[in-house]
Amino acid sequence: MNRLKGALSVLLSVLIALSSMTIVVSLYLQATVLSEAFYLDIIATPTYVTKVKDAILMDFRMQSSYSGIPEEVFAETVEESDLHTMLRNHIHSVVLYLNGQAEYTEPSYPIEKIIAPLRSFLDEHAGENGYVATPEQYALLDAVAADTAEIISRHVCLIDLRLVMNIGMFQQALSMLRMVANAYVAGLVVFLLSIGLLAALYRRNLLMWLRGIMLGLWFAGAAFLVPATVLAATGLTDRVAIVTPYLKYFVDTVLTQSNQFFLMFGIVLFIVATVTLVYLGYTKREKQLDKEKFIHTAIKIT
Amino acid sequence: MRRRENTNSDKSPETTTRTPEDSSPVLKSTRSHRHSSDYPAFQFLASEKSREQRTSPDLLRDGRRRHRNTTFLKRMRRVGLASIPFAIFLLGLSLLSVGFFTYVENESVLAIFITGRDAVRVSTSDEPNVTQTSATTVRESATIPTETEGKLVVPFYYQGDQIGTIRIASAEIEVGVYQGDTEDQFRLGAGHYFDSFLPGQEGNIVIASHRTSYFRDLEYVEVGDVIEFETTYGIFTYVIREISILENKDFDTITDPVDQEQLTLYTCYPFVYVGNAPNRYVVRCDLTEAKLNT
Repeated sequence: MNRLKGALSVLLSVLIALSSMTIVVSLYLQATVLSEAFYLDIIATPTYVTKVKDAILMDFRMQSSYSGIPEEVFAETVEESDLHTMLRNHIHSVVLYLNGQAEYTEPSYPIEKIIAPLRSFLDEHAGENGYVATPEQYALLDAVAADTAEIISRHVCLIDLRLVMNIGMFQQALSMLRMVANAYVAGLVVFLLSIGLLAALYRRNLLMWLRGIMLGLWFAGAAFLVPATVLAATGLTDRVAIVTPYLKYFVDTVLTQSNQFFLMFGIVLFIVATVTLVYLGYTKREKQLDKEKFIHTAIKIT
Repeated sequence: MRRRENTNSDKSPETTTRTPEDSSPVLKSTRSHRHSSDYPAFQFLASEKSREQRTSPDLLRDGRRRHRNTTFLKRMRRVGLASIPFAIFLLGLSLLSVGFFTYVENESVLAIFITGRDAVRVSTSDEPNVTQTSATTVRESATIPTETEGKLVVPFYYQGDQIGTIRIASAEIEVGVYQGDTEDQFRLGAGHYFDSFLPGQEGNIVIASHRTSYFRDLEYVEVGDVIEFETTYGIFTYVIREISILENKDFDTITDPVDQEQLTLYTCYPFVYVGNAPNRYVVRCDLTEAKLNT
């Protein structure tokens, strides 16, 4: 009977560990991967949009080399405020798609903002060199403007879902992601149910009941804390091989903050459970000693 | 736990005996008895002293203190023993984590996404040893048509490495040549088409740059002009044989293999043009001299 009770206790502790892990992972997904606020916080960093613009200007240098149009002309076509608005809209669209609430729409920079300065340059260039720009040249210019708009849109597109959204494996992973993100209710139910069953198992022993809960939480805490600590120690999250500065900042921040999330929960669960278990160990021993002392006294009296 | 306590209480009467001389109930304890060895208070109760002494409050307090002191170490030991499985679990988890992240960093397909490690440069069939072998083969069969000094050892250049410098005195061009023909190389100077040959290898050496930057003055070169290509393993001198303008669709003819060593420089054409230039300006040269490093 005691063995069965012990086995049940272990099983319930495992369930507590698994359900608490599910709750933490679910909270993580809700608070980071599927949260618009999380991404907006990253791009709200003062230098972030400037970094995006610098990367765009770097590509404009290439565009200038191919088209013969000075970099300054291209630089006039892009404003940081426009980039910020585009980034916000893009993140909004991505998060809606990830949550299954809307179709994904690609970011696109208004080509009109590019065509005007390019045509102005062509007219000026034609005037200086004594020729009149032909419709063919204007058409070529429009093609350059379309390429330029594509460059801007590409840099604004932080998470390019076009590349993966038609891949079956991605869709499977996405549906699993959504499922886990919504699993916190199920996790909570299993968690409370396990606690209730443990209470029923140890009706007259509060300490054993607490011990069963804390054992589960200790394992869950360790399962988060140890890998997160090792990952932080290796510094892998800061060494992702991305050359583009703003993209590297974005990916580094997402990875680092994700790791910190698990580290924080791991530390809390681990410390609380460890302290409680040690305390319970002493308390249990004290209680046992008290019982034995009572017996001794009884013997003494007789 | 309860079972053990019951056992103890059951055993107690068996280990206590009454002596015929003393009618009072005296506890006679043996050293092997669990209670006696564990708890000094019990030893005190089991002593031969008088009943008054045994019930003295001071002695009882003293017994309790001694009892606590001796059991403290035992309790610590018990906690220590109980924590061993937990420590083993933590150790195992740590080792698994270290192993997993080391694998990710060094062995897995994800390794190429992590910097700060030697394997960032992905191995290809163009590994240095392979090239070195082919260079040796070329050297043995090389028939450079003009003066050749020294021994030809062509090193392996990774993407982005500087191969050397091209000088065209007639057009006042002096530009660094880098391995690869992407925008990264064009920002620095001229780019060497990765799949083409290197100087001394008796093949088509294809080099490009932008018409708006380093090859801006390429339009001023003429047939017969001398081009000096100083590499990290020797200096190669070429003479311009042919200048042509090709359409974009004929790009393949620029990189076509040839029977003898040929330096091909090209850029976009027209040189002054607003928009993506439709043609290519191609300069082809023959090798006349090679001075190899000793």
